[in-house]
Amino acid sequence: MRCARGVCMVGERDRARWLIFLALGLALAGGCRDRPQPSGSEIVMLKVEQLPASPEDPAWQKAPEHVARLLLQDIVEPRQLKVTTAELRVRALQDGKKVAFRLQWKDPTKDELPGPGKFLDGCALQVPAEAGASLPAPQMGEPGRAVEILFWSAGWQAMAEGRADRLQALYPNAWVDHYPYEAPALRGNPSSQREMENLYLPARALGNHRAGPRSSAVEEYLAQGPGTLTPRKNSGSHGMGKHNPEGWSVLLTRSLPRSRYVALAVWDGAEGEAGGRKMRTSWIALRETQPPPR
Amino acid sequence: MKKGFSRREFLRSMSAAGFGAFAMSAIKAWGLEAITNPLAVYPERGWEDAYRNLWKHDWKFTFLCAPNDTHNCLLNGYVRNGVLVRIGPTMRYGEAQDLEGNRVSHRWDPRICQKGLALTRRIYGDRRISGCMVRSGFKRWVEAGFPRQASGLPAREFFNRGRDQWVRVSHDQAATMVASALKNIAETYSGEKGAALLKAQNYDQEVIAAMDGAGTQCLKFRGGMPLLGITRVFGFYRFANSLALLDQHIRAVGPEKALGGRGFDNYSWHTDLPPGHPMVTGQQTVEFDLSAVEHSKTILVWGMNWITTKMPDAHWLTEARLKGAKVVVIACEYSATASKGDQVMVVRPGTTSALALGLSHVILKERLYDLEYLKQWTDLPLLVRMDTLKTLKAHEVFGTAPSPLSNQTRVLAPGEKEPPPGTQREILISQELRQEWGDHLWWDTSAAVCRPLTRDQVGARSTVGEALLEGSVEVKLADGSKVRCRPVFDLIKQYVEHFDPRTTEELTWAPAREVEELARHIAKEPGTTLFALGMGPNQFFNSDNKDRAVFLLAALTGNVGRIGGNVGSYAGNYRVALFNGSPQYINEDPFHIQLDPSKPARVRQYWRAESAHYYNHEDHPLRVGRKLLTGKTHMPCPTKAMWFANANSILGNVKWHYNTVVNVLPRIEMIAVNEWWWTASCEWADIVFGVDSWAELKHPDLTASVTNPFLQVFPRTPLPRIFETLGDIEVLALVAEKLGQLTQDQRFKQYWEFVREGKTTVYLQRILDNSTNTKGYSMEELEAKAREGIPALMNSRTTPKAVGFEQVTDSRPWYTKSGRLEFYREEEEFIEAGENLPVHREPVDSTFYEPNVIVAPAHEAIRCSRPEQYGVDPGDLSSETRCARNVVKDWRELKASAHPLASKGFKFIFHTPKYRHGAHTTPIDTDMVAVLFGPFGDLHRQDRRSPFVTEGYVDMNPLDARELDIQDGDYVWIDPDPEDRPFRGWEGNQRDYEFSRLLCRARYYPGTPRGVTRMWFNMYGATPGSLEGQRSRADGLAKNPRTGYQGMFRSGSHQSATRGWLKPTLMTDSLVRKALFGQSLGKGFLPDVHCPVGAPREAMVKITKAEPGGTDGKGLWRPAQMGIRPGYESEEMKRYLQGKFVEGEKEA
Amino acid sequence: MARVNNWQINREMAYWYPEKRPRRQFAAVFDINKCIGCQSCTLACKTTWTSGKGQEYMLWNNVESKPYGFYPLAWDLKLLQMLGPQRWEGARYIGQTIFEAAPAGRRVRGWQPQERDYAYPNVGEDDCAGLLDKGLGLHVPHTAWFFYLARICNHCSFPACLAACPRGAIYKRQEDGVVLIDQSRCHGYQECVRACPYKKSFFNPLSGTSEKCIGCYPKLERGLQPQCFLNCIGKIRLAGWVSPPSQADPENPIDFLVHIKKVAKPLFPQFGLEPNVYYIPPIHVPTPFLKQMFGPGVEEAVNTYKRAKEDPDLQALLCLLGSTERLMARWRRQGEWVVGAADDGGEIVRVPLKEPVYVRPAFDQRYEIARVNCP
Repeated sequence: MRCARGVCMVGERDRARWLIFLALGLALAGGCRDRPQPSGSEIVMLKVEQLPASPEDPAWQKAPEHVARLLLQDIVEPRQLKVTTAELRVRALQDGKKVAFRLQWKDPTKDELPGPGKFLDGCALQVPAEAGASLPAPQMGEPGRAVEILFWSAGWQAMAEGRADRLQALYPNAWVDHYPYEAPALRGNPSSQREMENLYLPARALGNHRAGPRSSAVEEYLAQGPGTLTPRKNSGSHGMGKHNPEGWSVLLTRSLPRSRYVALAVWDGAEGEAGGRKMRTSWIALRETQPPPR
Repeated sequence: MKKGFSRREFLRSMSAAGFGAFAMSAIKAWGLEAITNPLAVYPERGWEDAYRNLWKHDWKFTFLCAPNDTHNCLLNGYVRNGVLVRIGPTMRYGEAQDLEGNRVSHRWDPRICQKGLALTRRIYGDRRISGCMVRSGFKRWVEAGFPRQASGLPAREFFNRGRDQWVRVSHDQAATMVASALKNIAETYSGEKGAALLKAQNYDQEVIAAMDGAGTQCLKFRGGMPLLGITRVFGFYRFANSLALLDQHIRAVGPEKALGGRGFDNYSWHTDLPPGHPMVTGQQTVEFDLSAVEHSKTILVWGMNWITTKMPDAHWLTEARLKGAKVVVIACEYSATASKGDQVMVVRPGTTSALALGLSHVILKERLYDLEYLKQWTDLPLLVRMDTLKTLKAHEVFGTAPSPLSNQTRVLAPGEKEPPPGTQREILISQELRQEWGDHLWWDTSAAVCRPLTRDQVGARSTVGEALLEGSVEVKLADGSKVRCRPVFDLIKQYVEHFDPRTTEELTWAPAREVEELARHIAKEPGTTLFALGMGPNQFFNSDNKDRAVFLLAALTGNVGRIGGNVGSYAGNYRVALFNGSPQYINEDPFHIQLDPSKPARVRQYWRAESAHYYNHEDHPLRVGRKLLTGKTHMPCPTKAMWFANANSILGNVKWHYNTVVNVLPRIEMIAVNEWWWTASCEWADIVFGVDSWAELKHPDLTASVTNPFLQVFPRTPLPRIFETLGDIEVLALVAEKLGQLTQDQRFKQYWEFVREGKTTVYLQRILDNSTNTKGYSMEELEAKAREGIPALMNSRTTPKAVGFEQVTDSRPWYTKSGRLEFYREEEEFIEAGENLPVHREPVDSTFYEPNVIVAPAHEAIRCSRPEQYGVDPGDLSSETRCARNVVKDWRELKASAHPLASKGFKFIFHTPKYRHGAHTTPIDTDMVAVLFGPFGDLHRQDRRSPFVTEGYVDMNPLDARELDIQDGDYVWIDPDPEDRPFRGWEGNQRDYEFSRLLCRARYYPGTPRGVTRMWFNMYGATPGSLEGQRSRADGLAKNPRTGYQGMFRSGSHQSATRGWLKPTLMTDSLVRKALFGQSLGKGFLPDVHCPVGAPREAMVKITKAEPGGTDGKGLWRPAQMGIRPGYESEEMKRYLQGKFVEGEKEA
Repeated sequence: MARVNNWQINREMAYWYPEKRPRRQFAAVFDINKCIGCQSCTLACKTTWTSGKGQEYMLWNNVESKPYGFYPLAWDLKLLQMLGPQRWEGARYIGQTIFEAAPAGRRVRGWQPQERDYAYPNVGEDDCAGLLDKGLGLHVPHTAWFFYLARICNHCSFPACLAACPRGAIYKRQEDGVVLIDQSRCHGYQECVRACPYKKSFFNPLSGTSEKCIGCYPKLERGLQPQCFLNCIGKIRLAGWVSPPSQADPENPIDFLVHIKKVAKPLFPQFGLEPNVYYIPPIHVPTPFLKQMFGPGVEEAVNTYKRAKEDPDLQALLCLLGSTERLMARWRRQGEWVVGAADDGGEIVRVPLKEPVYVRPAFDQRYEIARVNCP
């Protein structure tokens, strides 16, 4: 309770309490989660020399936490009509060029294995492509008013961490007699072997970024409305997620956006969430601030 | 500024775009081009090339796929990046022609099946044999110079088969080992010394005597189903013939005394031979090309699962039905084919003879038979002496010598040499046999005299007039004595009276009314019914009784020998006589080898044939009490070495497999196998030669079929060999060459000269030129066509082929003594067995009643030798004694009896039919085929206990299973007669018992009657290695860690319950039958014609629950849990079955 | 939702997009009475299109034994349950289609198969409805019965997969009506997997996309029938083009069977997709089950088939099936022969209604050898 109150007080520039908060925050890092008060409307991007490389970096303790209550994606079909993940705890650090967000939410089940009827945990961060007074529709933007999206998937995280690109990585007891590209005629010729392998996976042959295998857990997109999500060249963003029995803690790093608004989304694979079936926020203001002087 | 955004706002903002609002989901961000409707437009379709690219191939070629399924399909192979990626039909069967340019139509296309399509898995899969392997113990034995114990047997430490390590060697090394082993074994067992050792090893005296002192006689060879490769596979018999050279080297005997090796049988070994066919017709089998159903009005599909075992020819049946033919399916379950039947009868397994007699009963009683046909074509009018039970002969009455013959039979003068089989036109008999048989007699009621009848007088030439058919007569013999005689018709009619519709229903389960109606239907239009019998009834001990009874029914209705009215037996592809010039190749005289390619070979047979059923019977003949029931002409030799190809059935899938590997193999000193896929045979072998798959053949070959009219070539293929393999025929040549080196005899090498020169076509052309129905074809031209995917047509008498056509059309005699279809068997062995009449015998094991009983009321002509006469206790029902236990009971008595083990819970008939997912050389064991086999396929193997991506299972009637507390999908133990199965001495031999005892899934199968259980054939059984794999591998696969062998059972197999059965009437020295090749008649043993066939569908088993079926042994198997399985239907499922989800209402 | 006209249910219905029929609609007729459940079609498809990673479990073409066979498990049973009462008024369906029954937040009513639902792809093989016991004598219709149902994508006129895809990555080709998932745009949300009532859209866990039957368009484009047709040894299949009922053409073999003879019926027409694979129903199966599966016209179809013995045209066309790899847009019977022809009427293949019998002389003078049936 008190720490939670502490959080909401961060907005009220009270130096003494701030120190108490820090102490408690350190003591109870990742611990106390119950029902924080709404944080007002902002996510504070604390300026630091160096951005953390992991969601577990102690540096995060310095950053104030914004607790965002998540909304249903009930705007376009397929709609999310059931509240699953209720809230998202967000912290942000920036170094003048890039901004790192840490998204944390409750999710005891780690959904990282894809399959029929199996969906993956994930989260995303969306900013308007252009700075400006009027914001695009928060659900994927709208025609002519693009949004930039940084998407992290638990499945990609597992691949980035080295999950083998073979059936047995998903089904340990599975048996397959033969793949055409494994025939002796192709041994010792990796390139034509790869080409042959991709023949049977058109999505890969066509360079569909969803088709794996991959080394990055995130993907950058542009969108101008629902169903228009389009990957774009990586502009140096990256991400990393860690799961503990309570839930996910995900680091998302990207260049400082032009706009000072961000919208967030979370997918819970165990709840069958994918694509438009997700929990999301509306636009949240971003504010840069210096760390309090010691 | 607007931060929030509701659905309402969203829709409002979109409504401007009108309907397009709903198309928001399809706006393309990168072009802003709106797809208002993907039913109408899609902007960027370049990606579609990805699938076009996958469809492409670099080049294609044609090869022949010929497992033992009788179809033989020329297939196209499609190659991409040097890999055979895809297979397809050639679609050019419709261009097949004969020598006169007669053509069949494209209705014969396509010819292929799922197993052929999946061949890439077998050609590239992990069990493909990539070179030569030798068992390390065997290698040490050879290298140590074949050390032996005092008894002559090799020291045990070298023979840890099935558990040993394997060593990779070159073909050359392997060939050297095989050659030296063959030589050493032949030397060891030659002459007196050899005989003494065999005696020390407890072989039967008769068996030792059969060696005639030649060690080469204990070397056994088998090219499995040689018709499937008339040089490649049949070559093993040629190799056996060449061993006369080895015998000469060892025993220093001349060509006149020299003996080659022994060759095992094939068609009969597979229990494919219908053994009663030669008893009735005097030749191997009557059948017709399956397309003949186009020309019939009624098709009786009898114990034949046509649509699963004759897949590319199933459409002839469904199309005939479409066009109005009546399809009657008789089966012991609601089979796949039953679902195509206009009438279906579900009968008790092993009672086909009784059903045929029951149908005949109606026809005889109501006098619906085709009188003219039976007077012209059957022995039914012939007189039988009631004193001797022999047929009455003309010389006995008139004292005259047999009359001369002029109707297509020629009596060979003493010493006259037979012409080559392919050139024979007339039926040939020796003077001696002609004298022995004489002529028969019939009683002319108009003149009250008996008249002679020669074998000439058949069909249009028949002189049978007002013949006595019923009752008896006193006939005065030449010596003045009188003898009472009865016509065969009368004897049979009296016997058949027992099988009235009610009795038939009780005995066979076929409803009396159905039996009567069917009988009348068949009799209505003589000559328009095709009887297509399958493997089902063939695999019971009473198989010959079945054939004799079915022929009786067919003959009574004029249905033998007509295109649209005939009998056919469908099991295996076997008639090597389709190439009756084969002796040119297999029997070329090794002492006078013909090296001039333009000249025919000089032929002399030095090898001897033998029924593998004796090897399957621990190399013993059948002895019951004092009685030896195996005829001299059948006598086997000890099996000391075995080399085979194309034949997992001789070891890996052998009947009584576990007894064979535990009790027979230890006495065999070398087992060599040619294979391209690691089978259970390889698991138990000493040496495995890796050979080419069909897609890699570098030597052409020939084959043909008994179910279609095609003459087919295995073309040489341009696909480079994928692994270190050779052609089977090259391996034979290589081993011969090594024997030549060991014996300093060049003839071994010369014997295969044209193979080594890459001119196998020389041998093939010799065969073509000397075969009745292929003379006129050029091998080069045939192969060129085959490369294009076009086969040729056999120039048989007719297309479609129909055995018996010449008889009926040309009034040509059958290959019997009388020239007629013979239903009475007068030979001593038959009278002793109580089978001189076509009787029904109960199955030898698969019956709820007393086994093997002759079902008959008192009958003056049934005077069999009873157990006491053989010196055995009538109460002795042990499996072995049972084979020759002649006990007669009428149905009333039999009905009151029970199977000896019934009280101990062995109450289920366990039969193992073939199925759509496997054929001999292409069993159910490649992933894509396996996963579709039955209900338990799962590529992901959620249940780690599953031995493979599918597994063997037993089908049980749900009510039977419930009684035993067995749930659908549970694992169960299946135990046969503990006396000798799974192997003799299993008690106290846990080491072998643990992989031999059958453990499998149980499926609730509503299609089988209570008491009848079924397990599909053609699965790979458990071996010590597969069991080890299951225990040691993380994924639990039943895969041998040393060999990759993949079992499809956790333990045991469908062969755990079978045994080697020998039937006395199949081991006679007296039955008259046509030679394998050509038209000459002889007596006694003939491989694939008159010899034992076993009874692999005979087993009464006990079934007990082993483990729950739920994943990893927890709870119910999921589909049952879901309520979608028979016996577990949820309310919704019940509604579904009744079609109640749709509420149709009456149209007003 | 738009309003479209679905002739198979004889009424207008709601659909996500407005009606737009392709220039030509790929269609097929399967004669269930000739199907032997051999799975050659399944393997032909699998070895051609789905031999890659993540596709191991995937059967674009499958054959299941009805009524106990399902791939995936309980696929049609579940949907029939979800759809509620399905009432026909004569030939008009007055119940709800899966579009009309769509729940809030979705465009289609469907269910999401789990991976374990794809296990046991041939469960129920040859299992019959009705417990057998000794002494059975059956006549048509059988009291114990099952039949083989071969299934591919129906390339529907109103595809549920296409309607449900939030990315608009599924489309229908105007030139042939084939429905495709754009493998370069699919994000693997599995909306199509859930929406397709026939469960013919599959998620590939290793490509992260959903994949489906492509109607072998690389072959169609070359005038060839798809792989599962070419390799059908039961010779039950005919690929071609179906016209709307109003434009039925008796010389078009598909139209002849679907519209003229009315012997071939769509699979679950009440779902509302206007599927384009038409089945000749099995004559040995009790009517209620067939009605549930193929709609109200099924009795008439069965009777027509039973009377085929008096209908040389029907016999002829059904004997032509499977005799050529090429697409036969037209056909004609010429006495005892039947001809399959191309668009322009040019002959492709010609077969007799009865295979000829050849009797050769007992002795062949030319080659001086006997010709016998028992050599």
